[in-house]
Amino acid sequence: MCYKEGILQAYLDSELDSEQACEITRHLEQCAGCRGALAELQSNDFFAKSCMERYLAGVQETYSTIKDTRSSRNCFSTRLRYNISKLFERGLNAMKLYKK
Amino acid sequence: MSQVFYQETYNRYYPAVCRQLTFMLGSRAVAEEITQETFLRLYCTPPRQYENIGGWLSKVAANLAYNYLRSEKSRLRREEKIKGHGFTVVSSEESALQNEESSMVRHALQSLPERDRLCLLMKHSGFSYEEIAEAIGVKKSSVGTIIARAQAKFKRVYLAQKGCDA
Repeated sequence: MCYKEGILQAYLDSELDSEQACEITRHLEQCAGCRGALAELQSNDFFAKSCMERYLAGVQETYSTIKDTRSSRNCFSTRLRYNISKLFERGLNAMKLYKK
Repeated sequence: MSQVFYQETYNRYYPAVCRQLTFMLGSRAVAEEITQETFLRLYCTPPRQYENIGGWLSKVAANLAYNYLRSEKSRLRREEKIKGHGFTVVSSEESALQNEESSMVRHALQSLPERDRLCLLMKHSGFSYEEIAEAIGVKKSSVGTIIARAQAKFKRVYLAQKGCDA
């Protein structure tokens, strides 16, 4: 019995339990069809991964060149909210201590 | 939610959420802000159960990113209207070359259905199948199939573009 691409992908991503993974490893030793399918998945996986890494690297490089006033404004407001929530939380903790 | 739990969750998931958002938004600065916002949501309105916090965070982050992109789109449209036809995009040759690769990746990602795209981005951001399943609302056993097909299509579309360019 051969395995479907979904299971083989999960095997590749180490998302199967050890029993299932062992079963597939044994099957792969005997089945050239599944070995081929796995190799294909592996190559697609590697391809997507390297594209994503290059994409991220590009984003990081352009980061300093982007000057978006709106994002800096957003940044200010979320930071502010974050600080407010932090203060609030500190107040709560102080109250808890006081109650004790 | 206890402070320790929140801190642990933050340390554990910040990189993955931020990576996912950088993929979705194409800007590290905006991604970091929306990551903060996502964790603020976790703090202020946490989910009822904590079983799959990674999936929950990723879902919230994706929704915040969609909202951001929507509002950004309408803001740009408004600004263009005000400026009329005098709208020019300044872009140096260098950044154009650098962006060519990015735009090819983005185009290949855009060719995928929204659910499959999020699935792929989550996988490459470091989320587990269980977390992906929670975020996109499918069974864990379907995640492998979605990833396998999405990656095959991604490669096909990307290479087709390259063929056109050459």
